[in-house]
Amino acid sequence: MVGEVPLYAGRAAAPDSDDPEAISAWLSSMPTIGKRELRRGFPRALVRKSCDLKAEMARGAVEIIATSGTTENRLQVLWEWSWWDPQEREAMRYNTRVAEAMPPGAPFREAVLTTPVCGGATCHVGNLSRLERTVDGMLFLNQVADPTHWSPAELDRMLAEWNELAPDGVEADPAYLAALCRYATQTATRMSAPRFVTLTYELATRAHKRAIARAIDAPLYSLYGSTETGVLFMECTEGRLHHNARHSHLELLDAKGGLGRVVVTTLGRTWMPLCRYELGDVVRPTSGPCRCGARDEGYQLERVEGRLADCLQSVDRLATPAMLDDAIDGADPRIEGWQLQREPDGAFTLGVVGETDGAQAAEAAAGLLEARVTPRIEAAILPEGSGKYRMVRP
Amino acid sequence: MNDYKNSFPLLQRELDGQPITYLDSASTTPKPKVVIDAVTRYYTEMGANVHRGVHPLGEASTAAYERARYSVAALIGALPSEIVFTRNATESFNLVAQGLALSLDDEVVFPASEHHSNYMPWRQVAKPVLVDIDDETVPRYSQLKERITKRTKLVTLAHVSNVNGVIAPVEEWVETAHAAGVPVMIDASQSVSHLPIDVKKIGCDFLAFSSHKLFGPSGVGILYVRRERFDSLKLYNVGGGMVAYNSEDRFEAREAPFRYEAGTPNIEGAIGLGAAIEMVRSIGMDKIAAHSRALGEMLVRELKPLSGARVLGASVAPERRVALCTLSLPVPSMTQANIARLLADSHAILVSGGFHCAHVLHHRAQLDGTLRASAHLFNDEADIERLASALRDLV
Ligand SMILES: Cc1ncc(COP(=O)(O)O)c(C=O)c1O
Ligand SMILES: [Zn+2]
Repeated sequence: MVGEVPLYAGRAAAPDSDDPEAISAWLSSMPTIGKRELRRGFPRALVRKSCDLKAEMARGAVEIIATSGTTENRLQVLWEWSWWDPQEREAMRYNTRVAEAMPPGAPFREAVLTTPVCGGATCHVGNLSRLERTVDGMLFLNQVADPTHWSPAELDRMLAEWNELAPDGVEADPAYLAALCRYATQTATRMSAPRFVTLTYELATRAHKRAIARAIDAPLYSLYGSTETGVLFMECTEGRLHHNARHSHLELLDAKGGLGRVVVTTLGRTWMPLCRYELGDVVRPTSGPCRCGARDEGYQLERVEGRLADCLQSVDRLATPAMLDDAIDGADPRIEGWQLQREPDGAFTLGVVGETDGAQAAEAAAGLLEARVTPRIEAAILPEGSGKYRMVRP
Repeated sequence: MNDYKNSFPLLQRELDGQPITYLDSASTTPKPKVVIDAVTRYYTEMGANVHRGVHPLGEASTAAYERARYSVAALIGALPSEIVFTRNATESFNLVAQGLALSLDDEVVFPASEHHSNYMPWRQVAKPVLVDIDDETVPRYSQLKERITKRTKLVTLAHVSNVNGVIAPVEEWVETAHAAGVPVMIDASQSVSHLPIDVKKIGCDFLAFSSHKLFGPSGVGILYVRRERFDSLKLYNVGGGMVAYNSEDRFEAREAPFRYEAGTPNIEGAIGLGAAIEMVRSIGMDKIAAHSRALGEMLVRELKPLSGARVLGASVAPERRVALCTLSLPVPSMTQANIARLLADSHAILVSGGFHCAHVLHHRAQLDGTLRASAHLFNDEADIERLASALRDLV
């Protein structure tokens, strides 16, 4: 692949053997790339010389998916269902309950609740009917760029569609699903229980999970990956994340304190193959046989810790968003949402949403960061341009 | 000297070699450096339009603009989706007046002391029904019940009067009006920078104020709409930015609040307002309110004894006033506006003189103009002492 893709021109060719050690040695001799390189090179430098992008796009085999954002997260991705679908389904089979719920060939009703494909005033579509929002049997519920802008009528519509569909499986951004569930709980609206919910797109906080569990009687599993890498990990019934090993080669670069930075080399991707791509996330690996009985064939994670850009270096260790969430939620479970902001003087402001003054949570965060943290009550946390949330604004 | 004074570049300037004493915040507040910097940063680092950018600068502008909406919401205990950006408080009142689709025999009840901004818009579309004011120009609040009829479509009042500085019992008014099924709009123009406000606690349906009286740039106003109320609010201005879809045969408006924000908004102004709000929030509205009350009390105490002075709302308890004091001072052959000029020209003390956009109040109180001194967080007792002493020299 290296010789074929302009972005990787000049790099050493892959070793001839299948010896994992030789492959690892070869990989680690190459530089890593990040979103900046993908942005700069898009799309030409990322397409194999033998592939005709224009023709394949005209045929509808490949499309461009854009993610927005004010931070490092902006990206356009070459994307094809024929690649995405099988690797996602395969990842989900690491979870026996999910696998049982979606037997191959059987009908499967799925609802998706995340940032809208088209939101705000940039898309010229207006409100879409339920039929127009159903793609490949999946119903996309949301049409608004920020869940705080969901009106009661919009929330009622989504709940009604949810209950009419009675999905077998739900794939959701935890922040969006938590907001819908809070409304359902407030209005005492019953939500049809799917057989499972996968939480993906961004880190689920403890408060998200609680709000969801209060309204939906279904197990919640994390599915971790990205538009550009595919699904990397799936959470099993025992709460561990297993690597979707057939579709990517993974390196976890040491981030100290038992943490690793995720570096991905995709396997078998025609479009936009990635070679030592640093995703920008931090994870906590674990090892040994898992009680779920999965074959021990690759990396396992205790959990995903969050974006590297949202991690804070305190005196001798990295404080990750998940660690901050443990501290904040552990100190005050009344907090529904939070965001930590670094002030010009090096101290922090902890914006909190919930029936609380946030003082205990601020104290807990201060303990973890060894810095001054002042709480501030917020009406809501503002999502980034991408519709996702930053837990820390450095 | 008060520490906050240093944060306001304008307050460092002099007039004819004298440092200024700014006592006109009720008219508009000076802008702190954090606000000036936030506006400049928009020009130097973002500069793009909002809600339509596909490039990073457009997304940065949109994020900063929307962040300001969140700050406004947090300040008054609202949801960000309940905050509409307008041009000023006046436009907020016009938006509601047009949006409620009133007819000329519908009634809108408000005190005779209201600012024209919360008077004229209702006069244009409905029949104003006034709650009387007493000799000190304070509304006879208990009259509300008898003013509400079957034709009443809205009750509106200033949280704090821009003329007498008195804090109205807004929660009681909301209770009375709601008991009769009538929605309530609050004019928070003079209160939002002096008092903590929680719209959920007040229970109002609409609330309006201007950025420029809250240390922010001019040209930005806020309209809070309780989210259930959007359904009864017709579109106002239409054009770009508020449309989700438009074809020759039909169009769809975006969701609230965006559907009420047609055209390119005052982006830098909103961002500046956001910075102003973060400043007052970090000082603490309780602390600002305590300071405002103390200065209000001192203003009345110092100005009331002036020979012949008629101080409006002087008998109202200090905890029901902000740092605003209006009086008429009999000085032979001088109007109240002349006195204000004289204070500026010979003492560099800046106050308001005239009718303060409240003609009916002045007619009813038989006042031919008044003098208004309004202090804020950067003022201290020495400023008020300077004003009192200048006026003592005059009478
Ligand atoms: C009580 C009150 N309401 C409304 C307004 C109008 O504000 P703007 O002129 O910014 O619309 C003012 C400003 O003087 C005011 O004092
Ligand atoms: Zn397992």
